[in-house]
Amino acid sequence: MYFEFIKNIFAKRVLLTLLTALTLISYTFISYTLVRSNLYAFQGRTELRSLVAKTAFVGNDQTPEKMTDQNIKNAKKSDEIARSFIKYLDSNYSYSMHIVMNANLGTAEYSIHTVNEDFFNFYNIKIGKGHNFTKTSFKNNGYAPIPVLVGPNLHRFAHVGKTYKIYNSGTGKNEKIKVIGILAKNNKIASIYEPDSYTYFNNAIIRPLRSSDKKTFNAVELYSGLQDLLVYRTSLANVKKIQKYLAKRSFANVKFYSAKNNLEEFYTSYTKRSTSLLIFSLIIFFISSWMISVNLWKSLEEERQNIALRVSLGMRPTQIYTAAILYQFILTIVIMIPVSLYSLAYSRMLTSGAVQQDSRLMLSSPLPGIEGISLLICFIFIFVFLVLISVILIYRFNKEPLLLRMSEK
Amino acid sequence: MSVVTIEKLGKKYKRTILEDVAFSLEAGTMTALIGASGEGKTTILNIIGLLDSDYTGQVLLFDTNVADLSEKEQAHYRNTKLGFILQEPLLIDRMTVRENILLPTVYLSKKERENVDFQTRLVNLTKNLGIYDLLDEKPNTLSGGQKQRVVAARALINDPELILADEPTGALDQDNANIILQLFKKLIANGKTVLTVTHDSNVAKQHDRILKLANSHVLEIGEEK
Repeated sequence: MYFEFIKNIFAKRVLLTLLTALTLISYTFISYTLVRSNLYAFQGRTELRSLVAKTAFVGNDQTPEKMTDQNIKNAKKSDEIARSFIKYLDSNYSYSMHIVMNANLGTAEYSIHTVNEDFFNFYNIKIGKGHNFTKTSFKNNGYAPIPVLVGPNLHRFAHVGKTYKIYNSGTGKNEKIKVIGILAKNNKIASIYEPDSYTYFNNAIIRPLRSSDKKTFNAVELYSGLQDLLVYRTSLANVKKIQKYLAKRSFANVKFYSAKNNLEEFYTSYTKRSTSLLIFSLIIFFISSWMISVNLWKSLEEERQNIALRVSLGMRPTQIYTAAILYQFILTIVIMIPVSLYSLAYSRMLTSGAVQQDSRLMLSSPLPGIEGISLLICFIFIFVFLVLISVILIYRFNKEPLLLRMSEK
Repeated sequence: MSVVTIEKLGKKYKRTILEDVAFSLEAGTMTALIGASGEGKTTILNIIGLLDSDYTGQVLLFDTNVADLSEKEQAHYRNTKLGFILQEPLLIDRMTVRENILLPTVYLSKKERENVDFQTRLVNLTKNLGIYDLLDEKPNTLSGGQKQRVVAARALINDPELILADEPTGALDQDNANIILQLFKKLIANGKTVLTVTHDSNVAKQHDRILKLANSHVLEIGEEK
């Protein structure tokens, strides 16, 4: 009964219905992007609160490429600078270092994240199986296998207690590793510069920056570690000394920014960008509303006699509401298909794509939390909006009795 | 048994359309309602047909005050107890003749649908009305007379007690008009009740009773049969 009604009344204007659907599809893309980005930004802000609480400063590597190339060529000297710099940091600062290197394993790609102990003061990395690093993990003498945490996507390494050999492009050596824990799915850390972007650890191997590693520390590792180096419980004047230390040795030009200011700056500009997108989405929203209203109203008015006929044959006027809700539900599902496919394809592309330098967004499941929640929010919003428009129009339509126009008029 | 009882029926819309109208229809009778255009004959059909509830007075259908019926009950009455035949044969062009005739069955409950062999009823009805061969046609391929017979079949598919017909023969040639009138006579022979609005005195004369609507009132002008 309802499908017949939907087909012959609500969807009778095929072209206008298609145009409306297309407008709504473009609206869903914008609103989905907006919702997802806001959720990520909100989550990022929550996760990065500890940086503000610990008065952290974030390193931003602005070293000219030429300088980096020269230093890497002159490895002996620059590696010595790297080692002395680590000593200098250890003696004078509390800091969190996160070095990211890529590696290949046949066709499966993974990244090696070398982190120091303080990294865990800022980021809550959850373990799915096995256990996390202990203090001893960071004091390893260098002879025993390196304890590592393995991302849940790296099935080849996902055996707690087993040892493997991997090539670390940071140290330039083959390393013997021992898996002590498998990471829970979708462990991620928010980018300090763009808290709506995340680095996922599903395809990562996390290894500790041990005392013995610091003795063989090199320039390649340091250049990677300088970006996003977190120095905390200190003052801006103090972190500027780090800047000077590196500049004096012509090794790097690293600027430090207060995490608090950095985040505030991001959210100020983010709010502006978000507002522009919101305004744009509202324009599309109003165009869609207008098209839907026109389409529905014209269809109802033109079919008034046919609807009255159905009512005379036993349909209840209130069943027009049910038919409308069902129609809008179907329409919402259809409208959501492209954005859901986009979301799935995007996630899959990231899962199978090459690991970038920052190994960002390596998703293990097609639709992890925020992606799914964003789709759900969009679905609910569009469905409620469509139902609301329909209910208002049908209420207005039903105000005039559905009489059969017989011979007199 | 009184199928329809109307007491002190009044209706105003910009002007007084009906005032203090009263009449009743007995089961197994065929009544013609005549009157000039704009006198409110259609309004009476819409009120008896439970499509217009904006009136004063009382309307009893099968001894039930229709004002006491819920929306669902009213819909069920329209679906199972009433059948509408209009001057302009209102059919849904996108549906076949078969789908048009069976449309009222769509609004029955599943149990009600299962209790009746509608396919057999469809065949019998359409054979009686001479439209059996048209079941798979679309309405826009039919003549006016054929369309009206399809409307009649649709009105009867749920075997209603009361047929409300508004100028059912108004747009038909003599042959098709006779088919409809013969159908009505068969119906009353089976205990059904027919209320026909007509301008045609020849058609009116073939009814048991003639009611005239004039100056917002209904007058009984005779039993012609």
